[in-house]
This record gives sequence, structure tokens and C-alpha cells, in this order.
Amino acid sequence: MAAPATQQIKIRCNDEKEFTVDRDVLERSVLIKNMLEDVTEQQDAPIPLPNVSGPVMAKVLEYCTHHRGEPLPSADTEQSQDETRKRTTDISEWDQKFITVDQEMLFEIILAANYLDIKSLLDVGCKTVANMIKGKTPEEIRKLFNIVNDFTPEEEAQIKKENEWAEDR
Amino acid sequence: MTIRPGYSRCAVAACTIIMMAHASEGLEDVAAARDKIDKEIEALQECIRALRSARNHLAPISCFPSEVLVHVFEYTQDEWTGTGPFPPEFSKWLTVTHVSQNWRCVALSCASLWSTISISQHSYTKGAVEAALERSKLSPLSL
Repeated sequence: MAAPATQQIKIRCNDEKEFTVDRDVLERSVLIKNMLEDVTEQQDAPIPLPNVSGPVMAKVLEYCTHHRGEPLPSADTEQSQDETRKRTTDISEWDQKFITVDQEMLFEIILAANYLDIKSLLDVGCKTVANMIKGKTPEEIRKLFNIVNDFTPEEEAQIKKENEWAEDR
Repeated sequence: MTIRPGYSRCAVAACTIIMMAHASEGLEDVAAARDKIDKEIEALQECIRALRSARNHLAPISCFPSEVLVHVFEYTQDEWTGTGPFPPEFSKWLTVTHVSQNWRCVALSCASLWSTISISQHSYTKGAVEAALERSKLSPLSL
């Protein structure tokens, strides 16, 4: 017996790039899942995604396709994950390879995951940025992200005090 | 005093103040001129700081909304949460609050980032505990 045909959904990005994707792949995005549940009749018009460009969406869909079928985090699992999240910045091998992109694309993926509400992808992106930060001095972090020291003299004084906390013990 | 071409308007203004003070030859005028220059330096330093903040807004990472930045900060905490003597690790995590005004503001505004406090021989220093208690606001504490 043939497997039931998977519903195909069309989406349109902010650069007019369109994708036709299996519904279960797209439903990794809670935003799109909710949109699809709100629509009772089948629509042919593509779902507009004004905050995501075609190249970024292509990467997001690569992630969603790889992880299709995996359980979506419920409110309960999210809470328990929140409690242990701080201790686990490990990234699976596939995800690690997937997220090895330039900084601009990494940030775009994070923003897209946040907008589309794909928690697991947001986690992978944020863990990657956290791993880039860890072990670096403030100056090294500034250089990494092209930012500069913009503290007021009062804030500088407070920071100096905070740096002495470890020595006061 | 000659002013070379290419000097900024501020340098020209400063030179004018000095020339006026020297011309009057009064000690009070010199002191007033010095105060005026000090205030000018302070204003310019604040102006530079504001420009630095504006420059930071153009950095790609500045497009992250606060909640995403907090999420990143939470993951940087794994270096010290749960194991080991705290102060060195605490100061490592604290690094994110020493990067820029925006990062510091976001980290200090998020109470949950400050709600795990270790009370032991090797735990936070008094200053760190006080800061963590203040910054954790009404967030439930993990001791």
C-alpha cells in the first residue's frame, strides 16, 4: 500500500525566493505550525516570511529536514532543559558541521530560528556563539565581534571593582 | 601661537582659550581657562564614548534581541555552574558584562542569570554575593 502523500507547503522569503516543502519539515517551526493550524482551508498562496532571506531559509530547511520526525520540545521538557541548559554546550556532530558557517550566516540563522520559533536550532546557534566567547578576555571578545569599549568612567570603576572580587576572598 | 592647517575645531578652540588666558596674564584667568579646557575635554570624552556606543549598534551581533543575547550568556555560564571553586570561574563568566555597555546592561537586567549562588569556603566573595543578590532581584535563588 502506498504511503499517504505528504502535504506540500509553499513559503516565500523576503527576497521573493520561494520554497515548496513537506509540511512536517516546516512544522519544526512553531510559528509556521501555528499559522498552518489556524488556516482551515488549503491555500495555494505561499506563506510570506518577511524576516528571512532565501539563502538563510535554505540553511534552516536543511536543519529542519535533517531533524524531521524528532519530537518538538513541550513546555515540560523546556522547563527541565532550562534547568540543565547551563551545563550542556555540547553540539552533536551533524549540528556542529551544519553550523560551521561564517559569522554573518551564523547570526542570520540565529535570528531566523528566533523568528520562526525553532528552539533546537536557536540553541545550537547560541551554544556556538557561547563557545566562541568562552575563555576569551573582554578585549578579545570585542575584536571577535567588531565592537569597542564604550563604558563610562563610572562603569569602568565598577568593572575594576568586580575584577577584584576573586582576589578579595 | 600658530595653528597648523588640519587641526580640528576643538584644537583651535583650545588654542584660542590659551591665547586669551596668556594675553590677560591674570592667574584667575589662567585657572578659569584651565577649568574651561577640562570641561571641554570631559564633554569630548563623553562625545567619543557616545560615538563608540553608536558604532557598537552597527556591529552584526547588535542585531540580536536582548532575549537571544541572554540565551547566549546562559550558555557561557556552564564554565562555573555546578562544579569547582567559584571565584575564578565566576569571574570568567563575568567577562560578558565587561565587554560593552549594551552587553552589561542586558546581563545585569536579567535576574535569572544571577540567581545561582554558591555558599561555601570556595564560593563567591562577599562583594560577589551582594551583587548577585541585588542583580537576581525577585528571582528564585539556587544556593
